[in-house]
Amino acid sequence: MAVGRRRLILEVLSFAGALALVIFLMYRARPPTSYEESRVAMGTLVTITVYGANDGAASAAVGSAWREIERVDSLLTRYSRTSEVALLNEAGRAVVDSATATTVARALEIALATEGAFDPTVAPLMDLWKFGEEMALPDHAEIVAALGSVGYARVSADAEGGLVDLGGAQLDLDGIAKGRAVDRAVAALRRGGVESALVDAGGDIGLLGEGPRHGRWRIGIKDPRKEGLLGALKLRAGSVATSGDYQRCGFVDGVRYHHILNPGTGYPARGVLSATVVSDECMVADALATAVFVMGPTRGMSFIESVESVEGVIVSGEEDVENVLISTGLEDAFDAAR
Amino acid sequence: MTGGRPSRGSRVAGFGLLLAAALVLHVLERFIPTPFPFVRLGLSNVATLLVIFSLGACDAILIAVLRVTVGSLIAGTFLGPGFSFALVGGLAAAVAMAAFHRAASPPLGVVGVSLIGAAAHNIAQLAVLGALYTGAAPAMRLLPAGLLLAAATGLVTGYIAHLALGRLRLGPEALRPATAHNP
Amino acid sequence: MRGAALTGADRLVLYVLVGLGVALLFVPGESGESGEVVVEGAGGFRAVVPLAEERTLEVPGPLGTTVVEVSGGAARVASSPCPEKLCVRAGDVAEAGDVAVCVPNRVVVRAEGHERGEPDATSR
Repeated sequence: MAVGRRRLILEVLSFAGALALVIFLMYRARPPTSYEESRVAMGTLVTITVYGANDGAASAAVGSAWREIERVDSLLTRYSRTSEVALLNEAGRAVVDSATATTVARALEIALATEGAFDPTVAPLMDLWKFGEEMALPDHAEIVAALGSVGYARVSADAEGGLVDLGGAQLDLDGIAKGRAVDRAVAALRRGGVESALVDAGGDIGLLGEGPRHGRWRIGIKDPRKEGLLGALKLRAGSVATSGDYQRCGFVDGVRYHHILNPGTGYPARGVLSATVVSDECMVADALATAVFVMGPTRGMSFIESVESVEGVIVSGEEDVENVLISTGLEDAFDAAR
Repeated sequence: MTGGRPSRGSRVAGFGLLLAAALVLHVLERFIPTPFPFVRLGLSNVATLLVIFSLGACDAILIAVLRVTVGSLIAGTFLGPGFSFALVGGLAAAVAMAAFHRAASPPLGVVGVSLIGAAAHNIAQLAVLGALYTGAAPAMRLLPAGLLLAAATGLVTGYIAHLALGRLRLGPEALRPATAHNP
Repeated sequence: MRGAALTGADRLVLYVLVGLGVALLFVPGESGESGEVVVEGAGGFRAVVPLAEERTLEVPGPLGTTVVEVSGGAARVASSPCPEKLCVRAGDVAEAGDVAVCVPNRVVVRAEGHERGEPDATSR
């Protein structure tokens, strides 16, 4: 029958149309594509994730980001015979690459601002502490002797000319180098045309552009004592770094000794289990995370609140979690895990 | 549908006939390959369908259970690994079909009931797969495939049942004793 | 019960069934618990192990052999020839984003997959 046939065709078409609409809507709602590369660099696992770009463009940009990371590492690491920091430590005073000089200058600024809680001259102290399974406490006399040459005020750095004079101190830029590498990697990605990406260098995180969750990023904070997260931050942009007493530590007679030393005493700072700092630059976040940790919960949080572009989370306690302090600017952005 | 219930004798005969058909289908279905071990297509639901549309809901469920138990005794798979899949799948299909037939049957025809049965059959089998073997996530990931497959097998079994009901005159009116109205 | 093979109600059931099936195709799958673990080592060593399996991997590296154990739904570094054993103390690798790394011996153990509920990255 003509009427029946037309009706059938109409039905089939509307069914096909409805199906196409459903498929289209579901396709739009699918999770965003991402391109990811991971490498071991700077003593940790570094992962770069690019969102929304095609694989070819992403891969090229990520390649240039790796080169930046390698460059920063080769300049600033203490543990290579050819790095500029090693050569500086050897010579005591030298003209270095402007990138190195700038980093030293920024490190000194942060040391001044934090009244020495972050100090890039703790190298002699770091050399005395060996963390690991079989750990022995360094001799107290040795610590006192090492303290003698610690002090950021001894160092002068001319970022433009490149001249750095250590004044008898020895440089350890590990507390700021990863953050700087992340910043340089993010800049390289931006120059490469990437609009949205995340660089994660062993927990030092740099964000580029809008996140995959409706323009935002969800960045977790590791619980310093348990498996899993303490909570997560909803951020639009910025960088995040955490200093924790669980990263490198050892136990002697049941007491934990960790790698975040108080530059004033030469011993691990107490009272904080982990400090997380959010700032525009990862280099700043990295250094401040160490500084806030050393300052302790009260002084640390009031320092964070006093600086406009800096926010943070401090987990205080001696061996167990006592309190989780969240800076005002992060109160709305922090979701506790439990 | 003109009045009068089918006679006892013809019901029993019909039941036996359909059960036999169901058993054959069950035994033969094992030879159709499927991606997962022991998960079956559910084509023997044709028999269940025929029962629903001729003898009624309770008989359908009964035949479904009998089909699986006796069928697997015949095939040698009784209480074997595939047994739980077959039983759960067949039973779920029978119950779902019976329920929907009861509730919605004047608008809902053979194919509709068959589709519902096929969906129930596949969902139930995925549930067994997830509960006993792989865990929830892989089973859930197979759900879309299960539903789309059910659409296909449901159409096929439904159409076969529709043809059978017409040709074999298994509808309730066919099971009535012959009268002047019913040659 | 004779009449049209496919009634209006039948069609409705068919549309719903197919529609659901297609719609569910696009729901992002869960890859949290029942996922896989990627173990990478020096010299191109790479192994992908489903977390549901029980396996022990010996990963060669410049310092020696790192032993990675997969059991009970998680992976962990059982032993490694490095001085600080940070990799061993990293604990279980199970959910997307978990990782255990032995830098001296160049071994990485990480859980694949990105679940909706997991953060884009974790600061630690």
